[in-house]
Amino acid sequence: PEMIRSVSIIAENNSPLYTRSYSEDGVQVDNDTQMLYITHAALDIVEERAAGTAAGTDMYLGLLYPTDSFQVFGYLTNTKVKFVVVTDDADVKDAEVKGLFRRMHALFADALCNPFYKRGEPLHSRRFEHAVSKLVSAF
Amino acid sequence: MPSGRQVAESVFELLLVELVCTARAQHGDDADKAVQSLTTLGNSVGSRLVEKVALDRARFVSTLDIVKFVCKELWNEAFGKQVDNLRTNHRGVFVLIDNKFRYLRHISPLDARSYAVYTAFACGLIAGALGALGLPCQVTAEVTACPATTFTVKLEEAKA
Repeated sequence: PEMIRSVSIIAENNSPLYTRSYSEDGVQVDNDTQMLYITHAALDIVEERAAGTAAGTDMYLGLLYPTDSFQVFGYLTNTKVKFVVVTDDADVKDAEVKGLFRRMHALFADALCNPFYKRGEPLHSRRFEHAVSKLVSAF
Repeated sequence: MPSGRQVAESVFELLLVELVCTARAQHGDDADKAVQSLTTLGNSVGSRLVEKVALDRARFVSTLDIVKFVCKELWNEAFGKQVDNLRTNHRGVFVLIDNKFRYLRHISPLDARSYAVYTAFACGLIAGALGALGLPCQVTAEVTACPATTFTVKLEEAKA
């Protein structure tokens, strides 16, 4: 079954707002450097894709690059917030990943409405955390 | 944005009026400082609100695209209608005219300069939204015939 290995939300200046990695069994992993590296490398491609598309104005940027064992997908909001998801190489359907991004974006927009949370700061909302975990495990 | 929990608009309008009173009181009736703090408050709200309003919107292709979005979708969400007139000098200045600006509906007529505190929050909201969308700017408002309000948006770097 397709598994999400990592989700990240990154600000315009590339500072991390939220990042979580998961093992093959769906257990949360701290400091998964491989995932961090893959996500970081993806950011350049996100910027390329975003700048390049004249016709494509979708926030969903699709598959950024495949590594031998993972697939990396990107999504860029109008407020220049980047979402990056890494999945196990499997038959991951575009539509499913798109839906995941859309829902994560909605959760992020909700978390942003907390007046004590400032744009650009790391996100520490328990409600957000909980909702994202549910999204990831249900994928 | 459908939501099970909504608040009556009248409550919000009362809150706005109270915000103005409080801002004035906090700054010893210094109108400029009051305007400043209300604008900052509006900034904070605008930059958050825009994320929700722009959620399902395709990515913007131009500056004009963004400003039009603010005039239509954002204005609808924040001010209950669309902007009535949009003009630009194509050098980073936009003029947005709302003939029946919602927040001024129930304000008694004042002299032109006194409206600033009542439009400050909205100016901040608009600037906050535009800023979050990548267009940092200054927004000011002029009320010549209440409730008709003219908002002037000056983009920080002149972007055509």
